[in-house]
Amino acid sequence: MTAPNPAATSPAASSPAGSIYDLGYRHYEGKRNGRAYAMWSLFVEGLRNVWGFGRPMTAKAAPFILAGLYALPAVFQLAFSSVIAQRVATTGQAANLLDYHSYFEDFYYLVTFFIVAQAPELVCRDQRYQVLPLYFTRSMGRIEYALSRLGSLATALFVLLLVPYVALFVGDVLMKPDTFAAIGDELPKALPSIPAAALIAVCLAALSLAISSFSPRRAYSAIGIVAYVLLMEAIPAAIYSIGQSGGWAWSDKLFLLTPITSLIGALSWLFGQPLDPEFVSGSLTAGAYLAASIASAGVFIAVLMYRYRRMPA
Amino acid sequence: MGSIAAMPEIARVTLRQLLGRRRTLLLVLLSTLPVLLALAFRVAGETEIERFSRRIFDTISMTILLPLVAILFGSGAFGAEIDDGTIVYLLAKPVPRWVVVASKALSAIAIAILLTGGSTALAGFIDMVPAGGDGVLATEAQVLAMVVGSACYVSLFLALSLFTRRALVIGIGYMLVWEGALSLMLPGIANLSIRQYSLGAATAIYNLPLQETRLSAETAFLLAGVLVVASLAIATWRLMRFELPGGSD
Repeated sequence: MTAPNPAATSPAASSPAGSIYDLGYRHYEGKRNGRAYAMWSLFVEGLRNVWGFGRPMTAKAAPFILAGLYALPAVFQLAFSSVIAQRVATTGQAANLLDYHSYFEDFYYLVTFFIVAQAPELVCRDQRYQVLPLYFTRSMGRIEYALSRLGSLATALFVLLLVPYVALFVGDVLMKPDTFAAIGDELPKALPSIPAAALIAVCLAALSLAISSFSPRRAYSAIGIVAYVLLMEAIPAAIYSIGQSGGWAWSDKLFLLTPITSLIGALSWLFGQPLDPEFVSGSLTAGAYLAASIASAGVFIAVLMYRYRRMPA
Repeated sequence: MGSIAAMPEIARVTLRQLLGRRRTLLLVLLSTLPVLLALAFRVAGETEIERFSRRIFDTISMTILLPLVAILFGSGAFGAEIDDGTIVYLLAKPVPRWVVVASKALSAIAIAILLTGGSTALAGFIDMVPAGGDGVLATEAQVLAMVVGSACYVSLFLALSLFTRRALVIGIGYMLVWEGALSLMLPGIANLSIRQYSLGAATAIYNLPLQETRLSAETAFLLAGVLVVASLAIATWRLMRFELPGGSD
């Protein structure tokens, strides 16, 4: 009677993990997909979450309305491209069109609103309902979790930012009589929008996730992101305005800390355009803004990882 | 009159919900920013009313501090109870719903005024009062703008938070898109903008040197009053028919 059931003991004895609590249940013998696959799964889940797929219609409303509003002007221009082309041909004056390099500058507040609404969705729920330990006890580590979330939001933002660029490109090509020549003309102007969209996406995703990872409540995360973005825009401008009369030569360097203005400056570098004096003042070059944007993305990714490494789970 | 006796208790609970330890610290930090900037202006020798009004009052206190603080408190007054599920206990008490709404609104408005008005008063005291009698009036006008703005934002988003769980995000959208972008493009929005109500109300005391005040003081007070009363009435109506949220978030 004391002979143990061979089916229960033999797999347990060979596998180190199950030797203590082995109750004799059947073991998983399938393929283990490992850490990279877990990250991929979380990335896909996060991407669906940002857009509200797999969730009720109310969750889809905010991302789709905002993405639609952001793309709307470009799509409008695409829809009316033939009308615009005709008018240019008949009146001879160049139409006042939306341009690749100034599109983000014109409609950035919708992108800001998008991260405010969606970044807390990604990271706050997991903290609030205390499911993080369930992730961290699996092959998914803390850093992997943070990176997957960052990847999801950055990819979602990249799509959001790229759609109007594509619409502008198609519209501009259709406006010209010779399509192939037009593609050749337009492509060099349009191509910088891919690195531009990638840069904006990574910077804003890192910023918003780093801030929202500090609070389990969506409301406070959202307020935190808005407060950070708006204040870091307003404070350097205010100090610069006193600095000009007070003779503080260093005061325009503070613009490097701004989240949106730096990105706008960096886009000027990517598109090879002069800095827009309406948005950017001071003596800084476009290259400095590009460096500042990349550096701020790095800092926020580091903050995000630090936060997840220290998070009580 | 027994029901009114519940007001202080509801207000006390609301204040405790709205003022957690860490987030209060952050909000206080946020509201000291205008004061710090005012100090920087003072150090640089800039004590003109106009420059202060544009650079600090308009761009930071009015555009960022007031909406953020007031929307947060307004949507949080009921939002926190709904999120935590404690609204059940509140609704189960034999207290008229208008008393619940009034005491929540009053306490949220009070702390919003305390933070925004206090910060504005202090900043104005540092920068504008040295400019003489006009400076004192300008400071009072700015504090009045904060009071009117706090009352409007809190009432509106308190009502909205009873309809949707995402009142705060809608509020931020209102602040960024409506007040920020659209009101620059479409001047007609002035009649439907809390920012304009606040700035208009301030003209009752002093004509702040801001280029875009579009409403007269009477209109502004009237519209702000209508907004507050209507929002609180709708909130009461909604609370009488309130259905406890289900499991779907």
